[in-house]
Amino acid sequence: MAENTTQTSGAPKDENTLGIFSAKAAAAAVNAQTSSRTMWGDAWKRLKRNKLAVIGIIWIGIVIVVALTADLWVPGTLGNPTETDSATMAQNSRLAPSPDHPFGTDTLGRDVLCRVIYGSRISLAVGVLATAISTMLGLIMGALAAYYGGIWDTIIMRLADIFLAFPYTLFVIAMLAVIGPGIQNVFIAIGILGWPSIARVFRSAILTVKENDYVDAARAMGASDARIIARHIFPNSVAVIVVYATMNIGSAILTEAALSFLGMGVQAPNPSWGIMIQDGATYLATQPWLMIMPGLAILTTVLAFTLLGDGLRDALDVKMKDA
Amino acid sequence: MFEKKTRVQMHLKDQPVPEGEHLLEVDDLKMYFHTQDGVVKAVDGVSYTLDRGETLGVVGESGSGKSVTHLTIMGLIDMPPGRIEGGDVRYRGQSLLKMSEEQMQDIRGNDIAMIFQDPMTSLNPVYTIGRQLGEGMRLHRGYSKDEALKRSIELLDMVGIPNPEQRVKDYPHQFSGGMRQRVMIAMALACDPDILIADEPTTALDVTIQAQIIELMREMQKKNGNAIVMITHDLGVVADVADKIMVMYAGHPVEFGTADEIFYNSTHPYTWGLIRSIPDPVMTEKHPLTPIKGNPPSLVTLPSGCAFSPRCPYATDKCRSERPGRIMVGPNHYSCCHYALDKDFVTKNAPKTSRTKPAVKAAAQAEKGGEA
Repeated sequence: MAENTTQTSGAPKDENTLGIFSAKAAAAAVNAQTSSRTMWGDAWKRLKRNKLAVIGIIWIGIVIVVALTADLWVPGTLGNPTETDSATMAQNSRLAPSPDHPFGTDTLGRDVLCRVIYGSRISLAVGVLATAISTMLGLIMGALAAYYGGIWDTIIMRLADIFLAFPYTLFVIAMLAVIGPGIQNVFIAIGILGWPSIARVFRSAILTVKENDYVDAARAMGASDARIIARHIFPNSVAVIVVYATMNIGSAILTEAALSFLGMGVQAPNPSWGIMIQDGATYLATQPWLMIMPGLAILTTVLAFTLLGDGLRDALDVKMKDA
Repeated sequence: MFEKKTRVQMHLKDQPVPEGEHLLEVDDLKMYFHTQDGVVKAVDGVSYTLDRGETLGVVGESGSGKSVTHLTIMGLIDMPPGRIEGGDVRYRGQSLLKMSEEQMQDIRGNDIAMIFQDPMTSLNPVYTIGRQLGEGMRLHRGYSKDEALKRSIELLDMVGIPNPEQRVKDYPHQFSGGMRQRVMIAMALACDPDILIADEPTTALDVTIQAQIIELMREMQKKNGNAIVMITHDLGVVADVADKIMVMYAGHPVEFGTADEIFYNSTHPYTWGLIRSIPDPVMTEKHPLTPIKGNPPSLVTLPSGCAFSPRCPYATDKCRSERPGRIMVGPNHYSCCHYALDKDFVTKNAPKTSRTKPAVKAAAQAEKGGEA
C-alpha cells in the first residue's frame, strides 16, 4: 500500500477517508501504469476492443489502400476502367465471373472488378471531401449560433431548418441541375447541402458543454473566450463531431451513388458505383453480377463507415474508460 | 523565470494595499437582472470590506444573492441580462467593475480565485488532473508544461492527495468527490491568490468530508495569508472559521458583524432563524430543530416594508409598511430590523442556545481574540 506511506506526510486529518479510498486509489494506480494518458490513446484502446469497429477499420483500410495503389497494378492485370477495345468488345461483353475476370465483365467488355476498384476512388473522394466541406460549414455555423446566440442563433438555425425542410436528395438534384453534373459539382452540392445537420449537432453539443461548471471554473481562472472554446468546449464536443462525420461519409457515398444512378452525378465513362448499378440494372435477370458487385461494394463500404462511427462513439466516451 | 510569458507586467497583488484602502471593498453593490418577468434585484446594496488573512462568511438561503454578489465581483455575470445598477467593487483600491475583460482575465485566478459548489462537474473530464491544475499557472505565470506539472504534484501533495506523482496523471472521474474538491482548492490556490471565494465548497460533499475541506482551506489560509469569502447556507459551516459574517436575505445584507456578534448577540429574526436551523448534537424534544417557515420572496415583487416580514414571526405593521435601514448595534455590527435596539425584544426572542454557549466557549474565544 503505497498510499499509506504518503498519507502521513500529506494530510494528517485524513486517515479515515484514505482508508476508504485506498482500494480505489490502488486500482487507479494499476490502471495508470497500463494505459496511455491521452484522450485519443485511451479511445484507441477501447476502439480496438470493439470487434465490429475493427472489422470496419480493416475494410476501410483495404478500400483505401486498393484505391490509392490502383494505378500501380490494376491496368496491367485487369485492364483499363474506362476505355473499350472495339476489336475484342463483342467476345468480352458481359462475361460471367471467372479467374480472368473475378467480377465478370460489363456490356462494353470492361472488367467489373477493375471498374469497382476505380469506382472506390470516386466514392471515397466524394465521401471524404463532401463531408469535409459540410463539417467545416457546419462547425462554423454551429459555433456561431451556439456561442454568440441571440440573433445569430435565430438566423442560422432557421436557415438550417429551411434546408432540412427540403427532401435532401431532391435538393441536391436541384442544385446539380443549376450548377451542372460532374464530379466536382457533386462534392460541392453534397458538401454544401450537408451542413445543417452538422451545425445542429455541433450547436447542441456546444450548448451542453457551455453549461458545464468547468467552463465557469475556467472563466473564473482567467481563461479567455478563445481559450475556453479551444481548450474546454471543443475537446468536449469533438467526439460528437468525429462520430457524426464518420457516419456522414457513408451517407455521402450513398448520395453520390444515387445521383450517379440517376445520371445527375459522375458521368460515364467514369466508373462510379452508381453508374455501374444503373448500367447493370437492365441485365439483373441474366447477368446479375453487373449490379450485385458494385452494390456489394457500396453496401460493405457504407456499412464499414457506420460500424466505425458506432465504435468511435463508444470509444470516445471518457466515462466508459474502466468498462 | 516566470515573467517571460506573463501578459500583464503589473501584478496588483504584488503591490502594497494603498493607504486607507482595503484588500477588497464592496460598496453598495447593486446587480439587477432585466428579465421578461421584470427586474430581478438579485444583489441590492451589498457592502463589506475584507483584508488579508480574514475570512468572511456569507450566509443565506438559496436565492438570497450570495453567489450572484460574488460572481459579479469576479465579472462572471452575463450582461445582459445582468446589469450593475450602482455601487463599486475595489480590489486594492482599483475598481474591478471598470476594468476591461482582459484586465479581469488577469485578475481572475491570479488575484481572486473561486471554488465552485459541485466538484463533480467543475473539472473538465477530458483532461488529466495535472493538466487542469497547471492551466492557471501556465496562463498567469507562463510556466512551461514541465514546470506546471512539477508544481501540480506539489500542490496535490499539499492538499493531501496521496501518491501525487501517480494521481496527477489521472482523469477527474478517477477521483472521489472529496478528492476532487481538494483538487479544486489546489487549483484555486495554484497562483497564490489574494482572495479565495468559496461558493458552498462543502454542500455537495459527504458530511464526513466537509470538515476536512474546511480545515484544509484554513490551513492553506494560514500558510498563504489569503482572504477567504465562504459562501454557504449553513451557519454551522462558518461558525468556527469566519471572522465576520454577513447574513443575506433577498439580495440584501440583513445583519453583519463578527462571528461572535452574529452568534451570540444577533438582533435580526432571520439570523435567529438560521441559528435555530443548525442541528444540535444534544437536540431533544425540548430543544427541537426549528425551521424558518415559508420560502424566500420572489426577487421581482419584493414585499413592501421589510423583505423578511411575511415570514417573520414577530412582524408588526411597521415591518410590513416600512423598510428598515441599517441600525448599528455595535461599532461594526449592524442589523436591518426595526427592533434591533429594543433590548426586551431581543432578549425575549433570540435563540436561547446561542446565549448559553459563550460560557462554554469562553476559553476558545479568548484564545482566538489573542491571536487576532
